[in-house]
Amino acid sequence: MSNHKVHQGRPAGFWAEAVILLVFVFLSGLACLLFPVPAAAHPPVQSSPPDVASYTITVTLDAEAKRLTARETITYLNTTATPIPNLVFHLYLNAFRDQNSLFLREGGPMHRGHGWDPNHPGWIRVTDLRLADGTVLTLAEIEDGTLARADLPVPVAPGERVEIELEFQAQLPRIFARTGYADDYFMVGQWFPKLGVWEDGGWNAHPFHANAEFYANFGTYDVAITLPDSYITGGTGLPVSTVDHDDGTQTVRYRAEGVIDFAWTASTRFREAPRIVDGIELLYLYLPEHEWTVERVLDAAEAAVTCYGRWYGPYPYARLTVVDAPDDGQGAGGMEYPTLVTAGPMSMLGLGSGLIRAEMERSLELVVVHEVGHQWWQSMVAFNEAEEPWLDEGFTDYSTLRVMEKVYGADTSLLDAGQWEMGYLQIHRMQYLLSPRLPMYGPAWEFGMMEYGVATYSKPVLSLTTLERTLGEERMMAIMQTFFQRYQFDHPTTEDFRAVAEEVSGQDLAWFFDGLVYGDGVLNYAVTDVSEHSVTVVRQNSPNSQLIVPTEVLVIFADGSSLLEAWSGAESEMTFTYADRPPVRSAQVDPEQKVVVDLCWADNGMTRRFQISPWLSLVVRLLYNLQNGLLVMGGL
Amino acid sequence: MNGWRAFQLGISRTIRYWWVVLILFGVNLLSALSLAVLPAGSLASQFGHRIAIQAAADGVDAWLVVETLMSPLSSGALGGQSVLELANWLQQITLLGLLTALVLPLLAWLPAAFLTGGLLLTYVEVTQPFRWRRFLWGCWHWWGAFLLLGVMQGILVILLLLPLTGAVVGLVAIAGGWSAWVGLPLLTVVVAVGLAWIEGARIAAVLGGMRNPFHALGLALRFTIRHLPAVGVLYGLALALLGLLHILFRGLLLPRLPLDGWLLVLVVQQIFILARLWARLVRLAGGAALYRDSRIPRAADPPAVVHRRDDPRGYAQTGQPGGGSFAAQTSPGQPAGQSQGDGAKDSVAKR
Repeated sequence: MSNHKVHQGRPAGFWAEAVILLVFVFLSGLACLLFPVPAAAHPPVQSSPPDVASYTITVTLDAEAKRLTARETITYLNTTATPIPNLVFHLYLNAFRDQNSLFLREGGPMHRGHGWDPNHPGWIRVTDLRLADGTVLTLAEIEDGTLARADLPVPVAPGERVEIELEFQAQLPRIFARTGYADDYFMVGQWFPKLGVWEDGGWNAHPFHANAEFYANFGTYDVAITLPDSYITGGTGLPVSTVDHDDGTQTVRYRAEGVIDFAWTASTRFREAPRIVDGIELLYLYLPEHEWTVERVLDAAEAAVTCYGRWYGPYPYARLTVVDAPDDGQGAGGMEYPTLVTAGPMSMLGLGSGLIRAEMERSLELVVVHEVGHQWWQSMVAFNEAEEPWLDEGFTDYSTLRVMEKVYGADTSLLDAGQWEMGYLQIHRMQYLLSPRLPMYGPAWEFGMMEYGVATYSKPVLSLTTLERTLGEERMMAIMQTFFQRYQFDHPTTEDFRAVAEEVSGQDLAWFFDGLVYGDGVLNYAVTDVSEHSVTVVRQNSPNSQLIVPTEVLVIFADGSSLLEAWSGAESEMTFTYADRPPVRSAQVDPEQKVVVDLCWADNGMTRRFQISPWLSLVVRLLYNLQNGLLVMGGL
Repeated sequence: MNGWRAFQLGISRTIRYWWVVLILFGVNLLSALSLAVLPAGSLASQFGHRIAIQAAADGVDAWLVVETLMSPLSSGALGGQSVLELANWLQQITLLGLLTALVLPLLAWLPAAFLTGGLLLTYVEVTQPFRWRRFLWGCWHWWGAFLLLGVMQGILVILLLLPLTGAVVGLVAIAGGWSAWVGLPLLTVVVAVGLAWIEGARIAAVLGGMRNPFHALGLALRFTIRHLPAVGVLYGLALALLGLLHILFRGLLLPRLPLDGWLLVLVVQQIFILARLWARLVRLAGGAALYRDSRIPRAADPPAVVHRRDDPRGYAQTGQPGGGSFAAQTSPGQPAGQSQGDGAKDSVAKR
């Protein structure tokens, strides 16, 4: 066995369909202009992204057979201090080859509600592999075939480059887990042999797990796609040339610098809707049946690009492509690649597209804002999505929530249907409460399906929001911006974020990192007693674990005066006494609901006297509803 | 008689017999109060001192709904500590909710089935003054038959209306707004026709003095088909009146009331309930007028009756066959006024 890291992971089963509250949003950058973040005015972008792993690929699409035939040249630079004795490739499409793959064993044949079709599997075969000097290499599959290794005759020394040439064929599956085809629609992702990341004396490359995403070095991609000339294409980077051939085909060549992956799409039915925002071309490739989404998707993309650009740093590429997903291929929607994201009118609430069309549910916009957010937190700050998935999904969804709330309002950011309102934060609270006793930190394959959604989406969003509300928005944005600038085009870890957060805030943030990121503790603050001259508050934690978040207690006295007490939360029970003040009217711990990881806000406040008026209001409402129910059922 | 005239008569007769509306309202209010007592008490004991009750009274926020739904899991995550009152309250409310779900249909169905006989008899005997004994006799006499009709109605709702409603809702959710313009009118027509049939069966039963629900259903079906324009206009107008009340109260009035002004809210809500009941009775009274005025074959001979002082019904059967139609029942003891035109009866009553 070579020195690459191959993490098998435990076969947890049924984590296929990640509870992916894929997150989405909409709106105009105007709203972001209305809510500028003081400290985040266009920080400088790193001028030259590293060129570690570069790919030149010429690929031909057989549109009938849904098959790719390609030649690929990889140039890999050893940026480490240790020589590279072998090469380890990802062959992701083999995850859809048969039911024995790790992906299908772990997740089952369903992913995000879309099934794997055993009659239309996907696979990839390397038919030739050699070094640039012609030395033929032998490639051996590892594990389930989603990894393969080739020994090198001579190790690649530190600072040296190795050039590899290979040929491969790939069969695209019926759309499943973000890739494949649906009739004449192609979304081609994770489609080519791709090297792992050489670091710490080994290849960081994991088999394709059901919950895990990707990790790769930055580089330049030059990809020439030959396909029938009736197809309209989109891809990572920019099209640099299109050549029409006499045989009814065309070759479209894309080039992208400073990116970690390359994906492309094609359909005969695509229509193009461009928009220029701050010199960036937003291009929406949509299907005619979704024409009603055009303005909303572009508005959402514009809002996202504008907000993220102001908060973290400008988008450095020339184009951002948003790709629509067909109704019978929505498994392709909601995915991020460098400079290209996929969307589609998928209902996050499971209510069908009717509410989305009526602009009552904002899932369409949410998915766009979320995936665009990944341009910052994954494509530019390239976390290891497999080993620390909370970083990219958590940072992205936290950013998504911020855009949603600022553009739509906190209470209506997901659902705004008359009397029925719901903010995106509440969806995360609901999901978090399903399984709150989880650390956020951990590799993707150690979480079950439900756990993955909580640990990588909901808990990080709630934790980062708690951090923001505790430190203040300005300081939080300073942390995020510093982190982005420091690690743009790099691969930071959780500890890198901790260092930046503590450095910028000037505080020991153990409560956040040890309690929430690495810890599985849960927390409930409550007021348990309000007497005439004292207030008792408690902190409750789960057995055998402790989570403390600093907070405040608001005490209101009978004469209308109030007192805001700071409480570190260190004591499990705390009594505040006010012998020299008027009688206490009420007390409320965390009155501004800053601690959004608090399991229950309903017990945070207490009054000394019975509240007759609100009680009567509720009873009157209950009575009225019962009367109406009786009328309906009575059939009189 | 056309549907518009029947509708007018429905309005005038429900106003004339305003006691009937009040009786129904009182039963509805008492039934609801009996169901509300336990949850209200539980709410007071668990949340009477919580600030969150104010948030709930101001209009339920999503966070409160989320916490209520998830509170058993929250409590479990804390090792079942009891400070999470919400979890305890939710358990109680869940039990009460289940109990209510069982009791509510009974509380709705039994009194409704009971009262329908009395109120229809009142509208059928339109020239008579309202008499409690007569009303209660009508309630008792047709209770069994109307319970059976209620069961059949429930079966129809479960087998036909609910699946159809689900299909329409699904269609609207999937296909979007345009389908609502097709699905909702279709649903309304189905509901209206179903109502006309079932309610017609009750009217036919009282008017024909029969207690066989199957005969009544058969009669009502034939009547509805033969007098479709009149029935359609009556039910269209009656449902429009109901819709208008909903728009007025739910759409315009109730949303504008201050949520913390519970007394004002209570008054307006009770007026709305009263108005809803009245609108329904307009439909029934109008239907009764329509049936009485129309000539249709009877499923069985109706009772020919004569007044007898000691008969609590106010009349006694003589066994004489009727005249082959509702309007032709001219025996002295039959439901009063059947041989006269409705307009004449009303003018008499008004005098």
